[in-house]
Amino acid sequence: MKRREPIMLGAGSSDFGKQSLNAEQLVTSAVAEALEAANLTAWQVDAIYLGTVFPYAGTAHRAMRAAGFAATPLFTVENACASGTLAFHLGSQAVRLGEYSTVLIVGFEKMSSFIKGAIPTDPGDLEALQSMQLPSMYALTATRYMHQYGVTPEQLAQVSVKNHAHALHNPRAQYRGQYTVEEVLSSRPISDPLTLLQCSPISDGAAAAVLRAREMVDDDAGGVRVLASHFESGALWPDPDHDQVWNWELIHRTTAQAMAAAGLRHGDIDLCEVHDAFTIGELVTIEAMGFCPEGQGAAFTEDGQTTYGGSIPVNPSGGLLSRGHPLGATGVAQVAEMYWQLTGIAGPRQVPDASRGLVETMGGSASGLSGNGCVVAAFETFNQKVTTT
Amino acid sequence: MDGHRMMACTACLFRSASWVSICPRCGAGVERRRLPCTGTVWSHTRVHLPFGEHSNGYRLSYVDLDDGPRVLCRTEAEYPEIIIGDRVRVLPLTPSDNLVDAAPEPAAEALTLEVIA
Repeated sequence: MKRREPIMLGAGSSDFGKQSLNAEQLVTSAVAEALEAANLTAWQVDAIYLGTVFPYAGTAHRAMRAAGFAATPLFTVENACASGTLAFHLGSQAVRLGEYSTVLIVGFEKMSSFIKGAIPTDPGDLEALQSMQLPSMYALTATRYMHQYGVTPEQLAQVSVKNHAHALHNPRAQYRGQYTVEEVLSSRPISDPLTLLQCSPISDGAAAAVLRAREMVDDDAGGVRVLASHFESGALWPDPDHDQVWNWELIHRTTAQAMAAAGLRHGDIDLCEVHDAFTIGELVTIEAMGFCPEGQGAAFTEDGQTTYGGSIPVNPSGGLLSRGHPLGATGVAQVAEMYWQLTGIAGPRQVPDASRGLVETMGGSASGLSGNGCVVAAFETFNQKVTTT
Repeated sequence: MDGHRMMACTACLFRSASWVSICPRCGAGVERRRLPCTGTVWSHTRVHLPFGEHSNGYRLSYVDLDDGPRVLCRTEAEYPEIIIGDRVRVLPLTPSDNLVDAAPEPAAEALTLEVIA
């Protein structure tokens, strides 16, 4: 079967944060921006892949109707925090395998309508019997990680300082502010060792991206190649043969598959947008992705390797910690940031000379698994005149 | 009560506090088996968010049961500090052996712990 390469021709997003806009308004703003950037209309979209977690069954359809779509096949998927990225993966596969030529990827969440306080675990999980909420799952990982590798609370807080500093230049971010390590550590305790500024906030928001088969892309079009995307589901956790902290195994396995499919090595990557719902998440992720050895993520971050000028800038958008984390929107917002970065229009937060990047999103906390599912996607700046298939 | 009734694979080391129909690790059959109550603290956190009937300050600990799965235990705010590596005994929060035996999920009960070493 001849495979077709998806090209991302445009992306958009709403502002993120608790806000009065409803799902229809949030989705419409993101979709309109993405279509305008792609120089396409709703009538040219063959199918929509949409990620969301909390809404009622019809909310996605109503929101897309408001955005100008009717009778366009709409696939709605859920994969916890990685719902938007799973929608992206499925949409890009649909283009790659020839099912559709032009697809719209959408992620949204009107989270403030459904969640007050921390996100609870699934009431069917045994952890829920003990009153486990999501921050505690990550806090348990953080405690173990810090014990295992001798990492200090100050080192953990560096992730928050760095990502909030990145968000200073992201006008769509929920939290933009310059914080010190001391301020991060003295913010309200949530679940030891995590404090408020180490946790992503409850947010409302939407994001969108347009993919089109390369054969249909104009010669003078700019955009981003989707080199590969890969999805994996969680394995048994803990693994009796190799006991890693929660999530590590799934992120590692997914990244390896995505990078092999893209034909990339770590030295080829100029930036990453990763799932930093909590500070510990970014450290575990950059290690599991292979950007630094196990247990070295904190020192790597403290040394400035994950910010501008470092070996691998991570979350130039400000990440989930700062941009906000409306679950279904998050993965598509990460993809949108990659579009802006790789087309050189990210403004003051532009990673210089960025031409290749990875997006990673980890989703879910089902009991006894290394996560529900993870998506990693690889991108490269598209220039029709010089790239080859 | 000499142990928690949990799922154990008949062919490999897979153990689970959650109900499974077959072993998701090797595909062999599983059986309910009483597993030791003792284990080692893998990690812990003190929670500062009230949740349901629970006020701030309760602690959650993951415990690796001896020859058993990793289970989450809750201790109340006044319980002394817990550290990784503590040897503990895992107990039902509301002791009821009959409840454990009759439950469709073998450990569908809230667990707590007491440090023994």
